[in-house]
Amino acid sequence: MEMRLAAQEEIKAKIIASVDKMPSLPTTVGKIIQLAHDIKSSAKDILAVIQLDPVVAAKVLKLINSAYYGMPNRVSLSQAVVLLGINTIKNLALSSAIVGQMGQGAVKIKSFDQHRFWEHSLGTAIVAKAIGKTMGTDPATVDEFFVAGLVHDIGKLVMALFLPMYYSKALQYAQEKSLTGSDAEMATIGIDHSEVGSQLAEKWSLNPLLIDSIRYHHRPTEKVGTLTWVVHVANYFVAAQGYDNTGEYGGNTVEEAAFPSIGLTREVVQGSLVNLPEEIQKATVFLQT
Amino acid sequence: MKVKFWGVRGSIPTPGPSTMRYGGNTTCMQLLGEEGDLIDGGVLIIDAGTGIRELGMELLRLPKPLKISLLITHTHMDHINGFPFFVPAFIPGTVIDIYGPLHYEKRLEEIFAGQMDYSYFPISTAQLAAELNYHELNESEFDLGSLHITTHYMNHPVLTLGYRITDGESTFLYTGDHEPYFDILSDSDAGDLIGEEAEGVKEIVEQQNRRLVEFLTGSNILVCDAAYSPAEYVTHKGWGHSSTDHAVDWAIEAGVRRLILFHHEPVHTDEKLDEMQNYARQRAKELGADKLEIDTATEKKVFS
Repeated sequence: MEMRLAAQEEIKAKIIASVDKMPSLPTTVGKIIQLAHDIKSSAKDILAVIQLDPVVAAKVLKLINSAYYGMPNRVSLSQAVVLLGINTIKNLALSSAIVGQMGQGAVKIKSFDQHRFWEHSLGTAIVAKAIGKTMGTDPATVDEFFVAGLVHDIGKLVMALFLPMYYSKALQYAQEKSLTGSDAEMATIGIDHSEVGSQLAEKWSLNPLLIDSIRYHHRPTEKVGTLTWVVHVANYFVAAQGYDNTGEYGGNTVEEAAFPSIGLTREVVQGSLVNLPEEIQKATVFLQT
Repeated sequence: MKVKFWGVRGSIPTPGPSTMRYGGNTTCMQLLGEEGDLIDGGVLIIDAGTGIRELGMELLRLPKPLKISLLITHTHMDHINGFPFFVPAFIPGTVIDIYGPLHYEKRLEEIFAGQMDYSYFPISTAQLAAELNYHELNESEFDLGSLHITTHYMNHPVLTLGYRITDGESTFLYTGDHEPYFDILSDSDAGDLIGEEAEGVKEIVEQQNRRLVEFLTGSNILVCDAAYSPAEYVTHKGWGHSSTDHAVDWAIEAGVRRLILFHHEPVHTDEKLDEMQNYARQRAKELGADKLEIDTATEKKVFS
């Protein structure tokens, strides 16, 4: 038992260290959100921020040059800004920044389906945003709901990318014992994806409420916050629609207290899911490598 | 091909004595065939600003069921918010094909439904009796009956399409809302781009402005965004609209037969629009374009 604990501590330390290997650039995301919310921010401001982050820049360019926009010829970043205009660029950068950071690299675990992971994450982002809108949240804040949904399970990707041996054991254990991802991760690794993800978000200097929503999305009653409740609810409904996440075998549940907390009934939330498959399919343009 | 205007105003309707002659409804026009209201047995409308309401009433005189094609340049309010008041959409049997630009976040259908959300309007698009078919477009070409339609990206803050429509004999062109491309990076306060990057921007700006003239070339009728006087443009640069100078210069360069000044500013009175028309005609004359006919879009008026 002692040995097992010692091994777990070692693994935990490795995982936390791996968070440091993640790219540190997503502070860009914060800056993009800030600029996107400022009517006075200029094309030059936004270009300067995007240029600082080659991954985000590449992502924006990929979108602009994709068949989706169907630009007649390939364009550079500054040309893109001129062509599409400041408002469109702000919107694009905002949506693609985070996926741009994390979509890199292939996971080498057979049972971890990266596409399914992002499908679930995007679904949660879309639904969280829809819930935010339905709640009458200030439009500037609704985008943060999207971001929160997108990154809520990011810890899983960290573990899958950096400690595939250990994480594959957690996945196997969850399947064998019909456990939730968190329970299986705690039992086999000693730390769960919520904790890993929130530590990564701390390193990225994301908004504290966003960090909380990652850390507490499976146990929202422990630290009550609107964003956390919304992610919790969105996560549940997206999984219930068939976009279940990798490594979850413990049943899909939602805290009943969530509905009064966000001021919406289960039926209203359900109603916001009508176009989910189509929305997810459309948003996967952000994931193309 | 002829064009009849049902709404000529940009931004917001401007009823009242100072706009009586040219009209106060927002953007809507109808293309007419030789035989009147119909082309290939259908109705062809571009943009659904508040002018579409009266057009809808007018269409009730036609034999049913109505087959309507509605081309949308972009989804800003002044180009779509007459749609909930378009009576043919409430009549069973009517088929409305709505064409409009692709949006990377929302489907065209969603944007139309959005403005008829219960908070804004008591009837939802789902309750409309007409069959609505949505077609999302980027830069492309397609046939609509005997007409050939080409779309072109314009410069406006949301994806906007210009439409070039030809029936084999004549060509009609509508720019939608548009401002000439310019270097928005160097025009900002923070300083200019340098070296290769500056060259790249210069190149794309020139290329896009050149492509526009190619798109306009040879049109018989050009309905062109000419929202501002040249002086007004200086203080409205970057707002996504053009001046009378831009419109006249493009029309001359593209060899257009008739230029129709369009998207009138809400603050422009009939007298101001007269003045702008005179100015534009004078400019064309000075530039040696004696044959270019220049008019101002007027509600209920037909131009050919």
